[in-house]
Amino acid sequence: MSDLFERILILKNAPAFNQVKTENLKVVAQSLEEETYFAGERVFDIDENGDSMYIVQKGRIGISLEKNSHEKNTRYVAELGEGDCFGEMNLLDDLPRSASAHVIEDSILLVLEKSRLRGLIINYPELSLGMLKSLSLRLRQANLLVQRAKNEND
Amino acid sequence: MLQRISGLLLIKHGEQQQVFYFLILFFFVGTGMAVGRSASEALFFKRYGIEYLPLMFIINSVLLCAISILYAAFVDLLPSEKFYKILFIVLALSLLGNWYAATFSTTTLVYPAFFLLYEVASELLLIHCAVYINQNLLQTQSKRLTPVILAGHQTGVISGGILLASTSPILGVKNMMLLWISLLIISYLLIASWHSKIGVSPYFRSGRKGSSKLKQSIDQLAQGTKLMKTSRLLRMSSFGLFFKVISVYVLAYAVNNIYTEQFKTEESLGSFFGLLTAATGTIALLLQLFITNRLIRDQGIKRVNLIFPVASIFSYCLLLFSFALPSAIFGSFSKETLMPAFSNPVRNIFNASLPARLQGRAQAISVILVIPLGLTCAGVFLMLAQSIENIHNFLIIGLICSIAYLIFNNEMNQAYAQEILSNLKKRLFIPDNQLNDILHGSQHDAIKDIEQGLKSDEDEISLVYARVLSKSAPDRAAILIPQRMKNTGNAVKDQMIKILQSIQSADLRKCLVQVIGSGDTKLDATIFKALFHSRDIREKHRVKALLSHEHSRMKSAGIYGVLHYPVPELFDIAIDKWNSLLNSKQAENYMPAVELLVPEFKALYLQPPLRETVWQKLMQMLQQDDTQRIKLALEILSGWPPAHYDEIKDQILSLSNSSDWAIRNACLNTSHLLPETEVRKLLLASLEDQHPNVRGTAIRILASGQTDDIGYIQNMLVDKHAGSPRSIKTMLEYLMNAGADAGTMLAISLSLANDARKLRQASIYLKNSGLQDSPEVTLLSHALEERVIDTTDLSLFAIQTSNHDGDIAVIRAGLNSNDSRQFSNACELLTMLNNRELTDLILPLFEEVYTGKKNRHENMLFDNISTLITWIQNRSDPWLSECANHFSAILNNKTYV
Repeated sequence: MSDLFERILILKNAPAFNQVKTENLKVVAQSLEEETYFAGERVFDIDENGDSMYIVQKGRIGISLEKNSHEKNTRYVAELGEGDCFGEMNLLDDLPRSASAHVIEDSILLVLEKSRLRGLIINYPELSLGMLKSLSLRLRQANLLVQRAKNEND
Repeated sequence: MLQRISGLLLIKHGEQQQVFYFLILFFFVGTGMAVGRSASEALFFKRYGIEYLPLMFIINSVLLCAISILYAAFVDLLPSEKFYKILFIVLALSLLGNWYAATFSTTTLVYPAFFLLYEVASELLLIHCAVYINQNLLQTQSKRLTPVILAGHQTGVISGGILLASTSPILGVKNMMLLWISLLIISYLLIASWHSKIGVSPYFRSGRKGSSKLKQSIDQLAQGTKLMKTSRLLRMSSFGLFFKVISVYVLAYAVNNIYTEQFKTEESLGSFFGLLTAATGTIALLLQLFITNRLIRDQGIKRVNLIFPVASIFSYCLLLFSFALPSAIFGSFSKETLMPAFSNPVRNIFNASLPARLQGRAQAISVILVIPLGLTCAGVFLMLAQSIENIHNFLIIGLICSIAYLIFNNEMNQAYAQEILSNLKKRLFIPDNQLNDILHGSQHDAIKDIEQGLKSDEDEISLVYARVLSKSAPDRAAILIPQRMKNTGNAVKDQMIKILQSIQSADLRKCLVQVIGSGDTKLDATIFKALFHSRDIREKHRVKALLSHEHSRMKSAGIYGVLHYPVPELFDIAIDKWNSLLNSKQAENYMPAVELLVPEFKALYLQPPLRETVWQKLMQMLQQDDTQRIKLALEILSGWPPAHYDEIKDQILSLSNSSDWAIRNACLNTSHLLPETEVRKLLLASLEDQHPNVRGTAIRILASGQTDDIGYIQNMLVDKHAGSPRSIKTMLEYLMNAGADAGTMLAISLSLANDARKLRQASIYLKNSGLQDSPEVTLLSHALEERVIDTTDLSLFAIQTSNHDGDIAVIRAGLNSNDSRQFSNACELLTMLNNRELTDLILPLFEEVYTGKKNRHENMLFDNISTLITWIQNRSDPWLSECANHFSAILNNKTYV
């Protein structure tokens, strides 16, 4: 499958973009930059100021809540593989990273820069509608989980 | 086999287990109720006396009211399954006490007590059934599955009737109480087991919690009463229910009088009641299984809502004609078959259209106020009728109440659509309404917000608000902007002066003169231009000096003054200076001169000696990297006389692909400088632009070249299925603004709905092609599904402004809300559209896409993948074609470029 179309499908499966129409994802896919990381490196650290979202094209990434831990002792709260997406909330807020991303295996990541996305949103307003829809859906899902938990506790 | 049965009963994949649970549960509840009812009536009529029935109605009403207050207190606080469990335990214990008293004591009061216990319990069990179903199913599911679920109850009623008819002569009617207790225990265990598996009912929303339950009950009653005042649906439904209760209970009294007269012993009456229950129950079950849901779907809920009232009227007419067994049996048939088969399911659906949080309260109001009141009235009417000579007079009262019931149900039908619509409006964002609110209703608040924004410490934010305020409230802007200017930097001050200049404030001069001499030449030049703009005679003397100023911005202010006042004696000098500035190679020199190329001076700069200089300068600017200069050049060129200029063609076409939408948009405005063939190509391509403003400009220019613009666009939409949803939407917006008539818009709407159906077929064909795992299929499938949703939505959008007063906007918002409750409410509204053809096309599409349900079998348009691909490629939808080309290339094992 061609790189562009493959990227569109990867984006379509990412929570931040799953409500964006494929047609609008084309411009996002064209804006993704490929970056190679090697095992043992970190993509970013907790509390760092971030400005990008990452999608794993190849390899494995571990997410931890620890700062400056040694790789061997690191406990991962999640391990991400091909097609998984991380750091996406940073595209919209300016808060520091809430977790660290460690490269477990040599990886190729697709990177979307915050400033680039903002430029795309200004020029392709329909893109932001889809992203808002995705966010709203995630918020609803979170609300539903909270409501269910509350009902069960009652 | 299971799938075939599911299909027949409209049960979708994944729902079977839940429906089976409901069926079994309500089967046992129904069996118990049938046993309890026939036994209690037979014992009461024979051992106590039917003449006391009206009195029982009155006592029953008081009991119902008291118990219902407790119901209202708990119904919204507890998940419905917990409530059911409590109800089963309390009822079983009461029955046990009753049976003990009937067996081991001689008092006859136990029979009216048993009768009343059944009446109260049956009301609570049935009313809570609706709440339980609504807390476990979505409205679309509820509408489809409630008749099936209630069929489980009906099967139980039949079994209960047969059980009673066969066992009561052997075991004795009174021992039937023990049988009912056993059935209640089974029901309890079923609920407990199911909810230990699935947890709390998924759509349960907890009500407020407080310290006093009694206070809460009273509050709920008050809230319910308030709700009655605000909701026409609830009001009409309550009046309808009131007359229904009187009609049903008077009918019950009439038919039971006939039966008690006809059957002499307790056993024979008990057996008859059992058989009657089984027979009427069987008919009701068949109706529920095979008729009710189809009738609701095909005839609409409103017509089905009228069946039982009409049948009640007919029953009374028969009884008035002949007060004998056949009439009584028809009366029982109407009450025991048509009421559960049509009236109850429809009532549940109506109730579900009320806001979810209030449904429990609405039910409580029915049980606390309306049913007891109806019962009391029925009892009083019957007692009065007993005291007069012709006891059959009460039938007249029943008939009148049946007619009133029919009238209020008809009113309820009218209120139903309005209720859903207003609920959706409250919950969804409807852009036009919001806009209207800002422009009309809450303008004062909006202006206050804007003024607050102008006071922001951030200069840039303040500037944005200044622009908005100058357009929405120029008088306020003229006062507030100068105040804010005192605390801004020179760049923002410069912009604010330009804003003030456009609103022609009387105090502008005073404010501007104070700022002159800040040391910033650009700012001073702007101030002079603003002063000259108002043609203030006191400032005219400055023009000559400025014309000779060494700074190009000041010089351009002088030129502006000469041309704008005008000052004829300085004209030649001004033109000369202007030309000289334009010829300069330095941007700081020529840009102030370019900024003077406004429409006001067009007649001057399109003449020699300026024309050629301007043209060359604009060509130069188009080749620069500065987007602001490109935009300015294009804006000036948009006012250039129409002609074909070869030297500009490539430049404009190249800029029309810019990533900046404003440049793409400006290119379209200069399209009159391109050859005819290029213009059409550019405009059609721009209809697909990602930015709505560019698409809007494209359609405006395209249509302006036509003698019949509406006909031209209609032709593009209907005959040529032009473009992607975004270009179709642009064309529809143009038609709406151009005032296309309702017939035209409806024709377009139908055409789009048909196109959406074809796209859906393509999507289904692709999914069933056996290529599911291929990424190319996934992408094309995604693209097709998106097109189905968009095109279906557009078919509704097309009739949005025609004749539906904004209802369509509400329906669209509901359908696209991603909220299953709003979605099902919107679907319900869609069924009530006047255009049946459109509804039949659109509704199944939305249901299929959002619920995954396959509505009907259709002949496929496509024989094979290749015809499908060709069909997509022949559509003028660039993205869909791109996906299809890619898919086709992969299929043919070619490398995609």
